[in-house]
Order: sequence, then structure tokens, then C-alpha cells
Amino acid sequence: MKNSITLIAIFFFGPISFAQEKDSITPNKLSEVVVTGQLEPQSIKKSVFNVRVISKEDIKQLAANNLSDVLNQYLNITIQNSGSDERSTVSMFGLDSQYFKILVDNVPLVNEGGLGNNTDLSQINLNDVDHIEIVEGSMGVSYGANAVSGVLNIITKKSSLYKWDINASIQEETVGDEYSLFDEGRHIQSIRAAHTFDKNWFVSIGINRNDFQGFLDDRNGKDYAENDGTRGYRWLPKDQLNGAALLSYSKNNFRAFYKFECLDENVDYYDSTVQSGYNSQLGSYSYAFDKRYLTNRYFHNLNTTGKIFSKLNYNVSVTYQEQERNVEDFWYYLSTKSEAKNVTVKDQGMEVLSSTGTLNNFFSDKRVDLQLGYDLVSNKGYSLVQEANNIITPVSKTIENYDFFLASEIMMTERFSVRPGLRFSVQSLFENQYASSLALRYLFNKGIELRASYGNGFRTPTFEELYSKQIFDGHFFTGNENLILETSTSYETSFKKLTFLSSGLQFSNMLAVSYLDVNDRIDMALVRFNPDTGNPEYQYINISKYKMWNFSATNQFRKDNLTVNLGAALVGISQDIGNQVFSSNDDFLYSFNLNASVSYMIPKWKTIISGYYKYNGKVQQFIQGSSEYVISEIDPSNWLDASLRKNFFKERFEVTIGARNLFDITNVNQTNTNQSAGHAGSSQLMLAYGRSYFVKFAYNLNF
Amino acid sequence: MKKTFLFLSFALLTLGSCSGDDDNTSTVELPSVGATLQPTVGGANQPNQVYLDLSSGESKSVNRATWEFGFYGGSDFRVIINGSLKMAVKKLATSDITLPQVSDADVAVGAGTTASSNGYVDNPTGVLAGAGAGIGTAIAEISATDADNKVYLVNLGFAVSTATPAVGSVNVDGDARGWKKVRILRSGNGYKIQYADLASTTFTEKTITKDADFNFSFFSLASGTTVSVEPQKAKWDLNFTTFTNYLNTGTEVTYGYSDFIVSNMKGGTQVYQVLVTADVTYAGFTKANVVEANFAASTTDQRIIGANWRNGGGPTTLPSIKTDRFYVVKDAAGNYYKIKFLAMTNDAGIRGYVTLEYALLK
Repeated sequence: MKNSITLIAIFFFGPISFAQEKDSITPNKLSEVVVTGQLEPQSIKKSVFNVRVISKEDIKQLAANNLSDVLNQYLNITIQNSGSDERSTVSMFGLDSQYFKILVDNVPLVNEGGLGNNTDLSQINLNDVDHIEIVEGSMGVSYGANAVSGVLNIITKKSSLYKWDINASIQEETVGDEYSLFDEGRHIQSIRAAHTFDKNWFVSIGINRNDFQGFLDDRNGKDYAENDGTRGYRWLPKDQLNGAALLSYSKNNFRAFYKFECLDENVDYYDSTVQSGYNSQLGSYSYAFDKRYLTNRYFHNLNTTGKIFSKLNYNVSVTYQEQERNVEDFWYYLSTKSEAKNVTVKDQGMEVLSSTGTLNNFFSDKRVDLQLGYDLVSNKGYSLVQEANNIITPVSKTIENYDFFLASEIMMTERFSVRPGLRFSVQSLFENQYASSLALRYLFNKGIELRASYGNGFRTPTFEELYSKQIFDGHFFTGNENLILETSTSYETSFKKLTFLSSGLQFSNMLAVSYLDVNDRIDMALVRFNPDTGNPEYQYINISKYKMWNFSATNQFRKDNLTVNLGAALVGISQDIGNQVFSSNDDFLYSFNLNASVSYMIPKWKTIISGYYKYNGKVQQFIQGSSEYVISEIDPSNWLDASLRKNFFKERFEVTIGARNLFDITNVNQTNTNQSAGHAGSSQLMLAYGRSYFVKFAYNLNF
Repeated sequence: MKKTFLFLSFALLTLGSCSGDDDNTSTVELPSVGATLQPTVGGANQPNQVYLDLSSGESKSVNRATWEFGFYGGSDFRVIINGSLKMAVKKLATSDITLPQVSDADVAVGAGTTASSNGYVDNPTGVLAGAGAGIGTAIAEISATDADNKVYLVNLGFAVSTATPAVGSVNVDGDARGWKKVRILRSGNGYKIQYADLASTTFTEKTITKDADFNFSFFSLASGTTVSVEPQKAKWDLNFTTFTNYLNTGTEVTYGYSDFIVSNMKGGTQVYQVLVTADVTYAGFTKANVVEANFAASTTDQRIIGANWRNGGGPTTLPSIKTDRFYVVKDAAGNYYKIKFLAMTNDAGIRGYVTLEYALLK
């Protein structure tokens, strides 16, 4: 901790300058246009909210195929991986993916268990992504439910400078030290073609395949027949096919696009347990309860923007999206290597019809802008939940919300802007919600920008929290239909300074302090003892509280072909967790994380070398023990990615070679997790599958 | 007598107890050389307690809800409760059974929340002697002095469930069976049980005689009579049952187990466990490999097989057979057997269908 404090001191007071933009290949591109939380797309400098950007170049340098490949490097975000169903989810400021909302072109993206939140990052393909914007803090006014810890907005490509634009790529990657051409490693293929018909029409279509063959580590794969817990995989094999298409039309002030996207994913689960069976005719045999998770997603978005009454700007999106996950259970007979008793059941699903619209530019006075908006969502959710006696039953519910919001941006002076906002949300299943926000921006001399904001958010309970019933043999854990929404408030202040020296050196630095609290957090608590049996009964109730302080610094400096980024954050989290028997104290537990990246272009060779480093400091958190909440510690980890990218043949051919996870991290230790055994045990947290190498060949044809 | 086991098809497995024409048994009883057996635990509700005799290859199956109390047939005056139903008892301060009582939700097996030191259940080792507080039987030794025999508050546990759980899971607990109060006295060389509903000011009294051929004489409150449960103590070796065990979760708590196997410690059956290695295999194990000293633990603990023959499973995996071990059993007549478990489910994956293979060691 001493070292961390020294480091922070250097960041806050030291001579190094700081930056915010991450775009590294085009050093002179300063006015990136951002859309997240904006009334109209505008330059990042003019934005009242503090918008962080992950650029196309970062995505290329990391050879990132999906969101989980890129977010590892982001400050204050960690990625949680599940070995049981192979989902990768985000955790920001210690809040899980239920609190973080992911949007595509301002529209929350569906998944089988949520709309925008609870997203499996590995299912979000980056093939046609232009850049990614992140706003930290509660953004309930702009984005409604579940934008509590932050929002991530994926901005896709919608036009091209060329008449034809064709890209194809092949990427081969090792998974740790496992690789072979077909049965091991990761194999990615993609192709995308875009065509501009005339001034008005643009069409693009693309397909991406991500074939991940799993990570065995110390496991023995599918056909291992000993019941010693080593059958199967550490990371499950997964095959994803993504398709995307865009048709866009623009003429004068009118612009419309229709975007279609689909996903087909197959995850193979091999049980580590080998079962023993006996048949009176056949004798003894062994088998395993294996399954496949089959996920499908369809996304349709029709968006139009234009002017009405020759003055007002409108922007209307109508979207229909659905994602469902089916589970195919089967018995795998190990002696004959055959499957039987295949049963496919829909496990979770979400069908969403929604429309978002805004109207702005009401005043001829350019200093004041007002935006009126609506957000109508009809969300048909489906989930299997556990009912009494280990019986699984489906729950299907349509949850609707009709939200109206207004936001205004007032330029008091050229330098000073104020952006108040308000949202009223009529909820079909829960109490109606209000959210408000206020943001200020002041541009001082010498490139100093000051921003301050306040915002609300809320999180809706999951189906499990509402409807599950695990009741069997003296165990009693149930959901609660009377839960109320968790509500949050966040505050952020940031200073940013841009410095341009005549030598061509550019500095950008930013200091930010933010605070977030979440109230009425849902936890499983002891609600009563059954008067007849004396067994304890547990239920989800709104009981806990969360508070977070975040002190962060992000810095960039650029000269000629060199770009260096440095960031650091100190996060303190206080969780007042209870289960009605005992509760944790509300001490702030601090953790430190740091990221740094360097990229340098060697002009003579048309080669970019880059390195991305992230340090995740020790994290402490309270977890439930048998008689008290105890502190559990997650060990620190270092993450380093490096790559080399070179163009050939007039930029038509591009080769990227690199390595992920050079520190060869697999699992990290977490202490005290095994509280049921009453004494401090530790467990392993799946972080990554070790050092891996990749090579990517891309071919670009445009004319 | 050489037995041929007629294996019923698994569709008929619920009916499948081994056929045998006992009436025609020859007078000289030779021990069975072994077989593959399927004790009729009865499926995912595990309704039965099955008593298996290795020397005859026969088993007796009894619904586990047929009895509440077992009265020891040996020299001590001890009474056990039916742990397979998660019964629990608490000693009250009074010896007056006519006083009304109220139920006490703490008196329960619970799901890992009741400390074993509360002494509400019988010690799972099967050792009857002890001063209480989790050692010995939950009901104190029956005193010759009537005034010392206190009233007990009795939680009757749970009826056998009839709900069908998901494939591979068990569902053993049905509805709560309610409460009674009991007081047990000596009656000559036997016992006298007094019992009533909690609020009642009158009670029913029955006498139970000891039978030295059996470990226990079993009594049913529902019928008010003794019922046949265990075979004669020399005629069984292993009992397949649900079971109230102790589990150490930091503090030792009481916890219900399914698919549990106890050995007939009181009748003289002894057991030990063998872990398979490259040199020691089930197939290669002979009488010469038996290590007599390894049996010692089973003379003070009936749980040597217990739940050790299977993995407990977890939130994402179902229980499974531990294939790395087998057991050596010495019965009261001095025959040695090796036993290995082949399956704990039937061909459809349903729990409560055990298959085991055993062989006489020569």
C-alpha cells in the first residue's frame, strides 16, 4: 500500500503530463466526436460529460476480436470469467455486470438475461466497430435502468470513404501453450464488404467466426473416463458465428439506417464428474452429464434522423432484439463415445421491442438547447428458475417501461456550459422511477477543462432475485417479488489540461475524483425460522449499501510517432452488507490499479510496435462467513500485451503479431472463500489462460 | 446353498428384491460367494431402509417412516430415535408427562445450523453410551429410578416425500410430522413408553420387551405397537438409509444425508476401506491381503462406508461413485468379503438405485 501511495503522489503532483484520448496512430486527431450522453454528436472537448474513448487503433493493436479482449486494459474494470458456462462479464468498481450497461449505437444490446446489462463480453464482436465510448457513473437520465456504475457505447461504422471497401482477416492464436491447427487454440476468420452506391446509399455486410477450442490446463478433455475430477476443460470450448449488415441512406438533413446483427454460439460443457452406471444386461458402464449452451441473438435497429418544421432535429430508433439460450443436456457414454438422451430446453431468453426518440434544437438561440425524449421498452423475459424440491420451472414475464426524459444544454458563456436532465420512468412491474442529473463544464485558459457532474441510476432485480425458489431437504432460499429497485447516485469532478508545445510535443492530463453510492442493494438474508421445522429460511431482500470513492489520473503524451499513456486509480469501496443475523462493517477497503501503454510507429518500416500494461492491485472485499463477514483478499496481478503491426503493398496487407498476457497469469488466489468449512480456505479465481501468442493477417481492398 | 439371482429388468427395479425360496433352504448354510446386488432403496425419495446380509445375499426392505423409537436389546437400557426421518428430541426439566408443552423450533436436525452439542440427535457413530450433549443417544440412559426419567419434547421429523425431484437429485423430506412428548421408563428387564400430544394432560403407555436376538425392538407411535424393522442382529451386515449425521463446518452441526450406508457394528460386522493403487485392485484382492488391524475403527463407528463411497456433488455436478476405493467386510460369522459400488442411479439417472458387487474372499 505504501508503494501505491507513492505512485499516486507521483501521478497527482509529479511532472508527468496526462492525457485522456487513447487514439494513438493519428497524433493530430484531437477533436474526436463522441455521442454518449450528448444531445448532438460533438467534439470530446465540448462534451459536458467526461467521455473516455477506446479507439479503433487500440482495438487493432490488441488484435481484439470481442469486447473481453479489449476491456482487460481499462482502468477500474476487471473481467470475470465463468468456467461453468463460459461467460465473461464486466466488473467495474467492484459492482458486477448487472450494474453496467452496454449499448450499440446508443441502443442497449439484449442478451438472454438482460437488456444492456449482464452482458457476456465475448459475445460482442468488434468487427465493424469504429470506436468505443465509456462514461463512468450513474447515467439513468440518458440511458434508464441499470446504468449504475457506467455505460459503454459501441459506435459502429456507418460510412466509408471508398466506393468499395473489402476486408478479410484470419487470426490464429494459442490458448496458453495449447495450439494445433484444428483441435486446440483459437481460430478467427472474418470478412466484411462495404459499398457506397452513390451519394445516398451505403451498404455493408460482414461475417465473423471465433472458434475457441478451450483450455485444458490440467484437465484431460472429453474422453477421459476416470472419476477423479479431471475430465473436461478449464475453459470451455466455444464456437461463435456473427453476422452483421447495414443499409444506410442519407440525403440533405435526412439520414436513415437499418442495422441487423446476429449471433450463433455453441459452448460445450463437459462435466468433470464421471458417473457410474449399471445395466443388468450390459453390466457396468461410465458416462457423463454433458451439455451444450446454444445461444442465438437477432438485433434489428431502424434509425432515422432529420429535421421537422425545418428546424427541430429528431432522432428516432425502433429496435427489435431477441436473444435466447438453449441448453442441450445429454449423456455422453465414455466407452462408445456416443451421445444419448439429448434434451434441449430453453433456459433463458429476452425479447425486446423498444423505441427511443429525441427532439431538440427548439431555440434559435444557439446557446440553449433543449432535448425532449422518450424511451419505450417492452421486454419479454423468460427464465428457468429452481422451484421447491429441485424442480425447474419456467417463469415468463413481460416487463414494460415508458420513460420520458428531458435534457438541456445551456452555454452560459463560450466557456461555461450547464447540462441539467430529468427522466421519469413508468414501470409496469415496479414503482415508477425518477432520475436526475446535472453536469457542468468550464473551459479555462491554457487548455484547462473542468467538469463536474451528478447523476442517478437504478437497477432492476433479476428473475432469480424475484422468482427463484430453492426449497429442498431443509434448505430454503427464495426470491422475492416485493423487491424494490436499487437506486444509485454518483458524482464526478475532473480536471483536464491539454498542452501543445512548439516542439510538437503534446500533453494531456486528467485528474478525476468520483463518488458512487448504491442503496437498497439486494442480498440473500435470513428472514425467519420455520415455526414447524425450525429450519432457517432465506430470501432476497433490499438490505445492503455500497459506497465508492475513486481517485484517478489518466495521462497521455505524444511526440511525432510516439504515444505514451499512463493511468492510475485508487478506489475505496465500503459495503454495508447484512443478512439480518450479522452485518459487515462499513470500512472503506482500498485497491489500486494502474495502466500504461506505449506505441511507436517506425515510419520507414510502416510498423507500429505497442505494449499495453495493466496492474490490478490487491482487492479486499467482505464475504459472508459462518458467523460474520470476513475480509477476502484477491491477489494482485500484472497484465501485459504486446504487438507489432506492419503494412505491406500500399496498406493493402496488414500483419499483426503479438502476445497476450506476457506475465502468464492463469488463476489468482482469493482468500477466505471457503467459509462453510469454518476456517480460512482459499480458492482460485479464473483470470486468464496463460501467455498466448497470436498472428493476424488482414487484407484490405478499397477503391 | 447356491443362489441364483434373478435380475429383474431395471424397469421393474422398484420391485426387485432378490428372489429366494427360504422354505427349502438346506440345513447347512454356506456363505454366498458373491453377486451383484441392487438394494431397493426405492428411488429419489429414498423411502426404504434396506438391511443386507452378505452371507445369504438377501436383503430386507422397510419403509423408514414405520418406526420412531428403537429399544436396545442388549444389557444397557438405551433408546434411539429415527434419524432417517430427521427426528430430534430435547430433554425437559420435568418428569411429569401430563404437563402441557409447546414445540421448540430449535429442536431439529436443521440444515447445518444446529450444533451437535445440543444433543438433540443420537450420536451417528452408533455408540449408545454417553453422557448426552451429542455423545451417546439423545435420550439419556433409562434409569431404574423412575423419577430420573424426564419427559422429552419430540420433533417427529419429516414424512417420506412423494414429490419427484429433478433427475439425479434426491427429495427425501416430505411434510413435517409434528410433535409429541414422551417419557420412557424401565419395566422389569424391558421398557415402558408413555407418550402424548404436546397439549394433552393424559398419555398412552405401552410396554416393550427386550429381545436379545435383535439389536433393537422398534416401536411405532402411529400403531402403538412394536414393528418389525431390523432382521435378527446376526442376519444383516449393511443398512442403506437416509441418515442424520454430524458434519464439521467449523462447529460440528447435525445434517441429513441421503445414500448413506451403516454397518452392523452392534451385531459384530466389521469394515474397512481400501484405496485402489497400481498394486491394490478390487480384482486382485484376496483374503491374504486382509489387514485385520484395519477393522478396529469399525468397532466404534458404524459409518466406515457412510457417505465415503460417493462424491457429494455440488451446485453444478451431481453426486457420483468414488471409483478409487472398495471395502472389506468381515461378518459376525467370520466370513470376509470385498465390496465395490457400481452405481447409485438407475439407467435413467434416478437416484436411490444402488448397485454393488461383492465377493467372498478366499
